[in-house]
Amino acid sequence: MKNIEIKILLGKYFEGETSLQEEKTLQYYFLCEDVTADLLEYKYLFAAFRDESYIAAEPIDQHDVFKGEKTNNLSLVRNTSWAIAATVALLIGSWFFFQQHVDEQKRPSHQELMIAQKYLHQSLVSFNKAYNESNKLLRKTMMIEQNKMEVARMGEVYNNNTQEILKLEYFNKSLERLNGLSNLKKSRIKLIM
Amino acid sequence: MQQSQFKNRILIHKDAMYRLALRMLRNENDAQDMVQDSLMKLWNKRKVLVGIKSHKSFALTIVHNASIDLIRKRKPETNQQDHLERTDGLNPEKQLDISDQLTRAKQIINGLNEQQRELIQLRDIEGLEYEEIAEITDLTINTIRVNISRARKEIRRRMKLAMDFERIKKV
Repeated sequence: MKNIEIKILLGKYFEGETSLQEEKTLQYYFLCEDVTADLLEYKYLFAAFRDESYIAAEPIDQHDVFKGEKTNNLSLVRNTSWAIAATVALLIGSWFFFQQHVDEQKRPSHQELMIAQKYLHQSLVSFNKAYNESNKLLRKTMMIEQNKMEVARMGEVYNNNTQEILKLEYFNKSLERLNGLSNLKKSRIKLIM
Repeated sequence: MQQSQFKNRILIHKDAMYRLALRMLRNENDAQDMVQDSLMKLWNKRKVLVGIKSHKSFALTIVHNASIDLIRKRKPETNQQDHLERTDGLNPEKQLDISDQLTRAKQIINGLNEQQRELIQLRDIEGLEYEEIAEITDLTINTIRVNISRARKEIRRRMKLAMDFERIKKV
């Protein structure tokens, strides 16, 4: 094919006016023929198109396709929820079933129930008493602790006061010494006079 | 539609589905997940598939719609990526470092905006007719022609720009 014909075809191609057959002609030309330098860029372009048409997908998991289900997180959550709900329903149903079918002979009589109720009542009363006693003990313990803290605080005050008294005693002794010294001076003055 | 029919008519297009998802999402893992999810959707719609003319177009439509949804969800991030890749395509200084012309051409294609990328993928790489592209993208044939023309011209402009800078560098 002549260069001029190719250029005309290229003009149509870039206007989007070529048919598929004409585009195949162009592709064949640029991939198989030696092209002039001014048309070199089109050789790369058509080669790129050809290369891109060879790209293939990775093998498809046909089992998943024909199953028609997608194992995603949402479906997993849904399935799990349904499984949990079904299990709970089964457990509740079983419980009711067994409750209804307990052997009548194994059920306690009215008298036994009354005795049990009496013991239960006594137990509750005992428990209540023990609870009250423990509460009282707890309060007493708390009071003892408070008293201990008060005693400790008073001890500290006593110690502080003792120190103050000692200081005062030392001060008094110092004063007495001073008084003694002043009296001695006075007597000496009298003697000199 | 039976499993064997689905394999022969739909699964054979998985590579084209992957390429479209990859072009739109620009992330291999997302594209792979997209293909898997789209195939599941298609299998769930297997009753509808029987009356469809082009299974490839229908499969690509599923991928197109799902990709658009995903792009909208992650829009701020994608916008940033768009900007970066466009810059890569336009920045001549950076292009001077790229020796492989083919890699650069691919980068320029990836640097186009979302719609142009998709249209180039469907027309120039997958070789679909305009009618099929219209079916997939829900655009009119005229809009597709105009946008494909703009995309191709943009690729040409960026490639010329890059090659001119290389020539200057050699001089």
